Amino acid sequence: MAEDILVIDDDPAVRKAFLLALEDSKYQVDAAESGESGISLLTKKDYGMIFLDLKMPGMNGAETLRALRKINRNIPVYIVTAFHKEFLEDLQSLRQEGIKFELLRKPLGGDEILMIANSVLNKPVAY
Amino acid sequence: MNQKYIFQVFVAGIAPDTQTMIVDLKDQLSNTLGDNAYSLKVVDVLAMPQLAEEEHILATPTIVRTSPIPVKKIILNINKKTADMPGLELILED
Repeated sequence: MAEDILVIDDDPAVRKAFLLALEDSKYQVDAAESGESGISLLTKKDYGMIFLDLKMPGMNGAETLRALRKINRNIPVYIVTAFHKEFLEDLQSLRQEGIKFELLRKPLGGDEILMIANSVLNKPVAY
Repeated sequence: MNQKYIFQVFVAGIAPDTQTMIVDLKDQLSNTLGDNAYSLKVVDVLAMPQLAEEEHILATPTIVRTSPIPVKKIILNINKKTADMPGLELILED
Protein backbone atom coordinates (compact mmCIF):
# COMPACT_ATOMS: atom_id res chain seq x y z
CA MET A 1 0.00 0.00 0.00
CA ALA A 2 1.28 3.45 -0.92
CA GLU A 3 2.28 5.47 2.12
CA ASP A 4 2.85 8.85 0.53
CA ILE A 5 0.49 11.64 1.53
CA LEU A 6 -0.87 14.48 -0.59
CA VAL A 7 -2.00 17.73 1.04
CA ILE A 8 -4.13 20.11 -1.04
CA ASP A 9 -4.67 23.51 0.60
CA ASP A 10 -4.35 27.07 -0.66
CA ASP A 11 -3.09 28.31 2.74
CA PRO A 12 0.72 28.03 2.93
CA ALA A 13 0.58 27.96 6.75
CA VAL A 14 -1.65 24.88 6.64
CA ARG A 15 0.58 23.14 4.10
CA LYS A 16 3.58 23.90 6.30
CA ALA A 17 1.78 22.55 9.38
CA PHE A 18 1.20 19.20 7.64
CA LEU A 19 4.79 19.06 6.38
CA LEU A 20 6.16 19.85 9.86
CA ALA A 21 3.87 17.36 11.60
CA LEU A 22 4.97 14.54 9.30
CA GLU A 23 8.61 15.46 8.59
CA ASP A 24 10.03 13.02 11.13
CA SER A 25 7.58 10.25 10.21
CA LYS A 26 8.05 7.55 7.61
CA TYR A 27 5.55 9.23 5.32
CA GLN A 28 6.59 11.28 2.30
CA VAL A 29 4.39 14.36 1.95
CA ASP A 30 3.68 16.32 -1.20
CA ALA A 31 1.79 19.61 -0.92
CA ALA A 32 -0.29 21.32 -3.60
CA GLU A 33 -1.56 24.91 -3.40
CA SER A 34 -4.63 24.33 -5.56
CA GLY A 35 -7.06 21.66 -6.68
CA GLU A 36 -5.59 21.75 -10.17
CA SER A 37 -2.03 21.08 -9.00
CA GLY A 38 -3.23 18.37 -6.60
CA ILE A 39 -4.99 16.58 -9.44
CA SER A 40 -1.85 16.87 -11.56
CA LEU A 41 0.23 15.24 -8.78
CA LEU A 42 -2.28 12.39 -8.41
CA THR A 43 -1.98 11.55 -12.11
CA LYS A 44 1.77 10.99 -11.64
CA LYS A 45 2.00 9.15 -8.35
CA ASP A 46 0.16 6.75 -6.03
CA TYR A 47 -0.76 8.16 -2.64
CA GLY A 48 -1.95 6.38 0.51
CA MET A 49 -4.20 9.24 1.55
CA ILE A 50 -5.13 12.81 0.68
CA PHE A 51 -5.91 15.77 2.94
CA LEU A 52 -8.13 18.22 1.06
CA ASP A 53 -9.21 21.72 2.05
CA LEU A 54 -12.87 22.51 1.43
CA LYS A 55 -12.71 26.27 0.89
CA MET A 56 -10.23 27.18 -1.84
CA PRO A 57 -10.29 29.90 -4.50
CA GLY A 58 -10.73 28.64 -8.05
CA MET A 59 -11.45 24.94 -7.92
CA ASN A 60 -12.95 24.36 -4.45
CA GLY A 61 -12.68 21.20 -2.38
CA ALA A 62 -15.90 19.63 -3.69
CA GLU A 63 -14.93 20.22 -7.34
CA THR A 64 -11.43 18.93 -6.66
CA LEU A 65 -12.82 15.78 -5.03
CA ARG A 66 -15.06 15.05 -8.02
CA ALA A 67 -12.00 15.28 -10.28
CA LEU A 68 -9.83 13.20 -7.94
CA ARG A 69 -12.44 10.44 -7.91
CA LYS A 70 -12.32 10.20 -11.70
CA ILE A 71 -8.65 9.28 -11.32
CA ASN A 72 -8.87 7.11 -8.18
CA ARG A 73 -12.18 5.89 -6.70
CA ASN A 74 -10.86 4.40 -3.48
CA ILE A 75 -7.96 6.41 -2.08
CA PRO A 76 -8.97 7.77 1.36
CA VAL A 77 -9.65 11.50 0.97
CA TYR A 78 -10.05 13.52 4.17
CA ILE A 79 -11.89 16.78 3.71
CA VAL A 80 -10.51 19.18 6.30
CA THR A 81 -13.33 21.32 7.64
CA ALA A 82 -15.00 22.67 10.75
CA PHE A 83 -17.78 20.37 11.93
CA HIS A 84 -20.56 22.90 11.39
CA LYS A 85 -23.75 22.36 9.38
CA GLU A 86 -23.13 25.37 7.14
CA PHE A 87 -19.86 23.80 5.89
CA LEU A 88 -21.17 20.26 5.65
CA GLU A 89 -24.42 20.85 3.76
CA ASP A 90 -22.63 21.09 0.40
CA LEU A 91 -21.05 17.71 1.04
CA GLN A 92 -24.42 15.94 1.29
CA SER A 93 -24.84 16.27 -2.47
CA LEU A 94 -21.43 14.68 -3.05
CA ARG A 95 -22.55 11.69 -1.01
CA GLN A 96 -25.76 11.46 -3.01
CA GLU A 97 -23.62 11.33 -6.15
CA GLY A 98 -21.85 8.31 -4.66
CA ILE A 99 -18.57 10.13 -4.16
CA LYS A 100 -16.59 8.78 -1.22
CA PHE A 101 -14.82 10.97 1.32
CA GLU A 102 -14.09 11.24 5.01
CA LEU A 103 -14.11 14.25 7.32
CA LEU A 104 -11.28 15.68 9.39
CA ARG A 105 -12.06 18.35 11.93
CA LYS A 106 -10.17 21.60 11.93
CA PRO A 107 -8.39 23.17 13.64
CA LEU A 108 -6.06 20.27 14.32
CA GLY A 109 -2.61 20.00 15.85
CA GLY A 110 0.56 18.30 14.70
CA ASP A 111 0.08 15.30 16.97
CA GLU A 112 -3.42 14.82 15.57
CA ILE A 113 -2.14 14.95 11.99
CA LEU A 114 0.39 12.23 12.78
CA MET A 115 -2.22 10.15 14.60
CA ILE A 116 -4.61 10.13 11.68
CA ALA A 117 -1.84 9.32 9.21
CA ASN A 118 -0.81 6.38 11.38
CA SER A 119 -4.41 5.24 11.84
CA VAL A 120 -5.10 5.18 8.11
CA LEU A 121 -1.75 4.04 6.76
CA ASN A 122 -0.43 1.91 9.57
CA LYS A 123 -2.12 0.88 12.82
CA PRO A 124 -4.90 2.69 14.69
CA VAL A 125 -4.12 4.11 18.10
CA ALA A 126 -6.68 4.51 20.89
CA TYR A 127 -7.11 8.01 22.27
CA MET B 1 -30.88 -5.92 28.90
CA ASN B 2 -27.72 -4.76 30.61
CA GLN B 3 -25.11 -4.30 27.92
CA LYS B 4 -21.60 -3.97 29.17
CA TYR B 5 -20.27 -2.35 26.03
CA ILE B 6 -21.77 0.75 24.44
CA PHE B 7 -20.28 2.04 21.21
CA GLN B 8 -20.92 4.91 18.82
CA VAL B 9 -19.51 5.03 15.32
CA PHE B 10 -19.22 8.41 13.59
CA VAL B 11 -19.40 8.29 9.77
CA ALA B 12 -19.44 10.82 6.93
CA GLY B 13 -22.86 10.14 5.43
CA ILE B 14 -24.86 6.95 5.11
CA ALA B 15 -23.76 5.42 1.83
CA PRO B 16 -22.91 1.93 0.55
CA ASP B 17 -19.31 2.11 1.79
CA THR B 18 -20.29 3.22 5.29
CA GLN B 19 -23.08 0.63 5.45
CA THR B 20 -20.61 -2.09 4.48
CA MET B 21 -18.24 -0.92 7.20
CA ILE B 22 -21.01 -0.88 9.83
CA VAL B 23 -22.09 -4.44 8.96
CA ASP B 24 -18.46 -5.54 9.16
CA LEU B 25 -18.01 -3.77 12.48
CA LYS B 26 -21.12 -5.41 13.95
CA ASP B 27 -19.91 -8.82 12.79
CA GLN B 28 -16.57 -8.23 14.42
CA LEU B 29 -18.10 -7.00 17.69
CA SER B 30 -20.60 -9.89 17.77
CA ASN B 31 -17.87 -12.42 17.16
CA THR B 32 -15.68 -10.89 19.87
CA LEU B 33 -18.23 -9.87 22.52
CA GLY B 34 -21.41 -11.79 21.69
CA ASP B 35 -24.59 -10.50 20.04
CA ASN B 36 -26.25 -9.21 23.19
CA ALA B 37 -23.22 -7.82 24.96
CA TYR B 38 -23.02 -4.51 23.16
CA SER B 39 -24.94 -1.73 21.45
CA LEU B 40 -23.69 0.29 18.48
CA LYS B 41 -25.21 3.66 17.57
CA VAL B 42 -24.40 5.15 14.17
CA VAL B 43 -23.96 8.94 13.98
CA ASP B 44 -23.86 10.66 10.59
CA VAL B 45 -21.56 13.65 11.07
CA LEU B 46 -22.90 15.34 7.92
CA ALA B 47 -26.38 15.38 9.48
CA MET B 48 -25.41 15.84 13.15
CA PRO B 49 -22.05 17.59 13.34
CA GLN B 50 -22.81 18.93 16.82
CA LEU B 51 -22.69 15.37 18.22
CA ALA B 52 -19.22 14.92 16.73
CA GLU B 53 -18.13 18.21 18.29
CA GLU B 54 -19.48 17.16 21.69
CA GLU B 55 -17.56 13.88 21.54
CA HIS B 56 -14.39 15.63 20.28
CA ILE B 57 -14.33 13.48 17.16
CA LEU B 58 -11.27 14.19 15.04
CA ALA B 59 -12.08 12.26 11.88
CA THR B 60 -14.51 9.83 10.31
CA PRO B 61 -14.95 6.95 10.66
CA THR B 62 -14.27 6.82 14.39
CA ILE B 63 -15.60 4.24 16.81
CA VAL B 64 -16.08 5.39 20.40
CA ARG B 65 -16.49 3.12 23.39
CA THR B 66 -18.61 5.13 25.82
CA SER B 67 -19.02 2.28 28.29
CA PRO B 68 -17.25 0.87 30.19
CA ILE B 69 -15.10 3.82 31.12
CA PRO B 70 -12.54 5.03 30.27
CA VAL B 71 -14.00 6.34 27.02
CA LYS B 72 -11.83 5.18 24.13
CA LYS B 73 -11.77 6.14 20.47
CA ILE B 74 -10.04 4.79 17.40
CA ILE B 75 -10.06 6.11 13.85
CA LEU B 76 -10.89 3.35 11.38
CA ASN B 77 -9.79 2.92 7.77
CA ILE B 78 -12.97 2.55 5.76
CA ASN B 79 -11.13 0.69 3.01
CA LYS B 80 -10.05 -2.11 5.33
CA LYS B 81 -12.14 -4.86 6.85
CA THR B 82 -11.90 -4.73 10.62
CA ALA B 83 -10.56 -8.29 10.67
CA ASP B 84 -7.61 -7.05 8.62
CA MET B 85 -7.16 -3.94 10.71
CA PRO B 86 -5.07 -4.24 13.84
CA GLY B 87 -6.25 -1.97 16.62
CA LEU B 88 -9.91 -2.81 17.21
CA GLU B 89 -8.86 -4.72 20.29
CA LEU B 90 -7.69 -1.39 21.73
CA ILE B 91 -11.28 -0.40 22.46
CA LEU B 92 -12.12 -3.79 23.97
CA GLU B 93 -9.30 -3.76 26.50
CA ASP B 94 -9.74 -2.07 29.89
